[in-house]
Amino acid sequence: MSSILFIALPLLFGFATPILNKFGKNGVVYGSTLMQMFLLYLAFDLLLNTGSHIEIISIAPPLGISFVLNKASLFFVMLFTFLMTMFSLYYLTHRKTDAYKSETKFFILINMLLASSIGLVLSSDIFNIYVFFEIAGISAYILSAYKKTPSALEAGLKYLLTGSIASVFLVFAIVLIYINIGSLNLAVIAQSFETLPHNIKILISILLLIGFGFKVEIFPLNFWVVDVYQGSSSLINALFSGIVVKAYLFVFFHILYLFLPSGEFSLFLIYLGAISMLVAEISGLRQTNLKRLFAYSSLGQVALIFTAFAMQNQNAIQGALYIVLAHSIAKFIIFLALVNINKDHKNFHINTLKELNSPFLRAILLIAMLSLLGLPLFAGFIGKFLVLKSLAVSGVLGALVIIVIASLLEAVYYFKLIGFMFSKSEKKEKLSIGISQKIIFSLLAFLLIFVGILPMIISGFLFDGAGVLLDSTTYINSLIGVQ
Amino acid sequence: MDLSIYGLTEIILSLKATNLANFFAMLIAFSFVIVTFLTKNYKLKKSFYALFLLLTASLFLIVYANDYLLFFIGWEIMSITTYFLLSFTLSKKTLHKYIIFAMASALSMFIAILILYSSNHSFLYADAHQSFKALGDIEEFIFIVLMLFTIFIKIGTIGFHYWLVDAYEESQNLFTPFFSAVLSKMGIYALIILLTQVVDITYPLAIIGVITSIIATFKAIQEDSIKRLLAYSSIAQLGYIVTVLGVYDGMGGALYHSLIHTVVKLLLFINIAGIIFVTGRSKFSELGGLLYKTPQSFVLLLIGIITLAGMPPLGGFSSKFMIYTSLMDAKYLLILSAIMFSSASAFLYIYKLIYGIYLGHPTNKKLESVKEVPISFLIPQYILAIVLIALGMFPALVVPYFNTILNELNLKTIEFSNYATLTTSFAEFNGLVIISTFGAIFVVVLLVFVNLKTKVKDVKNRFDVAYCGEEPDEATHLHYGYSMGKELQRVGFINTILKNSVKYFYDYIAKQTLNFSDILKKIYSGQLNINFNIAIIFAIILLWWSTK
Repeated sequence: MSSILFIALPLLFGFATPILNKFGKNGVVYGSTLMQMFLLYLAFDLLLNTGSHIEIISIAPPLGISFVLNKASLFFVMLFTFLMTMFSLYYLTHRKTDAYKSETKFFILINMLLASSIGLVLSSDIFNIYVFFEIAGISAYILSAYKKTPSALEAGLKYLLTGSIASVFLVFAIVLIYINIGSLNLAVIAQSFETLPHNIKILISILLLIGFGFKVEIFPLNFWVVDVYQGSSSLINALFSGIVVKAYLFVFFHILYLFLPSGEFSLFLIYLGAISMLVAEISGLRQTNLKRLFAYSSLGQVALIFTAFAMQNQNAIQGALYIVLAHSIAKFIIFLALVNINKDHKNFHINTLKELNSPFLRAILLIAMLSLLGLPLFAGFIGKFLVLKSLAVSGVLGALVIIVIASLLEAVYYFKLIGFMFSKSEKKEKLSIGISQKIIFSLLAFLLIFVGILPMIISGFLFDGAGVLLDSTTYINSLIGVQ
Repeated sequence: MDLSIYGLTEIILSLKATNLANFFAMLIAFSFVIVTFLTKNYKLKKSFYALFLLLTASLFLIVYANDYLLFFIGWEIMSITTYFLLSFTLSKKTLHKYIIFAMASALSMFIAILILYSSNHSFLYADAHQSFKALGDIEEFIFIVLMLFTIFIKIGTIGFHYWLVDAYEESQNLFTPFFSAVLSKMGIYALIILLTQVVDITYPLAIIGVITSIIATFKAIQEDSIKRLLAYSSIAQLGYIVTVLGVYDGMGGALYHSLIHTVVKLLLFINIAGIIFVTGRSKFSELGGLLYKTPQSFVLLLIGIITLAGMPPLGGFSSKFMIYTSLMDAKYLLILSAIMFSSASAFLYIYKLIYGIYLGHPTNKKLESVKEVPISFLIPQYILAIVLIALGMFPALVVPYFNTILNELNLKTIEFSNYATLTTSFAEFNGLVIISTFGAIFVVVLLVFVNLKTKVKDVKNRFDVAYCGEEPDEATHLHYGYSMGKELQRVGFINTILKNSVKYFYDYIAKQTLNFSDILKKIYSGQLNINFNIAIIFAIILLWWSTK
């Protein structure tokens, strides 16, 4: 039953906030933080106490809802609950100085975002995926426009427009699938997808690729991203970069492995990812706005994860999961640190880093940046290494070279930032950080270094997860067996 | 250590203490100890010590690695820690230049080792040769080019030295000896590993090495900054090592010259660090006449430059001797003559070191009150000088040790009869005899000089000199060697070499990339109508492409 809890509890809390509000001003905030901690505990419990865990829950099959919790989705669920807990704890410390207006609404949205991201990962029928796709989208649009400044509203509107176009494509694909197969269950679709006419298969694949392509921020479809990142507040950007994109990435490739045609398609996706990364990193070179810069960097990293997933190879996916972990944590650190650096939410010019007078924040940012660059001793390295290794082994040297050049360009602008941080120009007055925020930052940074030095801690789990994700036959059989 | 059991398949990490690794580890440890003598003279942050230790650890990881993965990890850590060590003193621009080159070097090695891995699924040195043989022609070529690119950036071969000279000049005076003596040696170590474990490239390497040494020598001659001169000298010396590695039997000479170069560059850079410490000046045109102020430094520098020039009777001669004979052995006569040309031209800048600083007339008033450099600068220099003199007396002292390395690598060993005689296939010389002859001549000349020296009038005023009838003032350069080396620009072909810098090439690339970045940035400017059009075009292209 635990897999339902992961979705039901945040949803329930989302809708129960008006009641929680009755318990006083802080009821919502503390309540949902406690709930997220409980979910994290649940995920840990599942990880430690069940070996090769697979849990399937079906309600009113074959048209009804079904969820699958296996090692691959457990990794994502754990990551999301962990990050969300960190986010809420951070917000608890942050609200003393700069609270959001109407926290009740804010926490409804946050909890909806968590529920829908987990829902995307767990769902095993395509209609539910669409529903969660929309919920995640809607809460993200509102969160992005939450500050109600002109730029935030612009960002929200742009997000809304692209999001709705993406869902049009997705709905069209789902309709085509339903007309031709007569089922929405992923396992049933996967079984009978091969029998469809060739043109329909191609059309569905392209529609899905474009529908999800907007959301997974892949090259010709990712132009909205940078503006949205710039407009939204940094606090929200942490969620976008750390959680939402990762959920979309997972569900896209989950569907891809299950039934989309591979082969030439896979090579195309690998190069698409590699070129996306290159384009993003080149565009980032001359950027002077910190938020836009980190948005480009996010695009690059997500494209790298995209390439890794597209290889359909267990080692590569293992690497991709490492990068997912490292990138989410690093971007969380960076965006939360931006909240601290820029309390007035106005000036995000890179020169603000020069005036940053807080050795602690500088050290933490340094760790996050070095990990993003994929340098040894940090978690980013092992992921990048595994991905590039599999690229070399599968003989896709072109993509390998493109990615390495992109990494070099990334290093160019990240080291520019690092140079700015440690330059000897005059500093502002000392930036004080509360002890609780220090603990949160240190925990996140410690994880990056810990995984970087001892990748063996989770490599087995991630390897199994990658295997589970690739193994579509077991997935189909277990799902149909339940029905 | 096999990581498969942890779920990281087909990755084996392995460390091994070979004799070769021990030799380089010894160089690292020796330099580390020597450099730590200086630390008390500088105000260093605590993080400097931490980073310095981390750097040394990464260097040991590089030499003791038995597979290319650990080697690469060590290499990356080395590059990054060096970045932070340099960041204490370097200007932002130089620092950025350094890290771009360092990252380019590391990443190109990354591609190379992954290509090597792809054929046999192993990073181990033991499998490297087989893996290399199993690659296709194009991949073999790419591997060699990328690997050499990595190494050439590290040792600053001409064309890739753009970052190196500036970084040497601006780095902490305490750190420069280590930079030159050890960090650049890692490039040599990587080259030795590449040549012995993977593939043997001979003639092209020798040509690259010799071109490097000639151009770097000319660049050094016209330098005015002492540290830049020594940086170019370092490039040239490493050029000799690369040249001799390009010879089939050159390993002995390469190892010997690595040893000598480490010791002599430590000595020279520490000497210069001492001079800069007491005078606060780092240009030849601002120094001069320090002979009677800092006599001990003068003698030590003299020992250093005799070695650097490769003249008997000190250790430098032994390694040059081995380099020349192995080139002769391989019948690379053109290269031999080129390297002799470069070696002879090197006298010009080597002499500049001694006359620019210690001889001539003091250019500045402040130089008159200079005292001898602190003892903590002198102790390491004396140790290094003793090593050089010992190697001069007993040139074959290290030969038995080198022979164990050469045996391990299955290469031809050096003949060995006694410690004082260095024997090669062409000739042999006895260091003890040479040094006693030179010593005897030196003593005789010194005695004659002391006895016949007429009493010179003690100059009270700095400006009390014959100056073509004009009256010199503070702005006049009194040093007779001022701007010496500039006359080289009148020589046609040398001027062409000196004028055409790789700077323009790299600047051009950087400019083009940034322009391209500006163009690409435009499509991210957030005009949704254009972006949706692009998306629709993308969809149409996909449809058209998939129906074909």
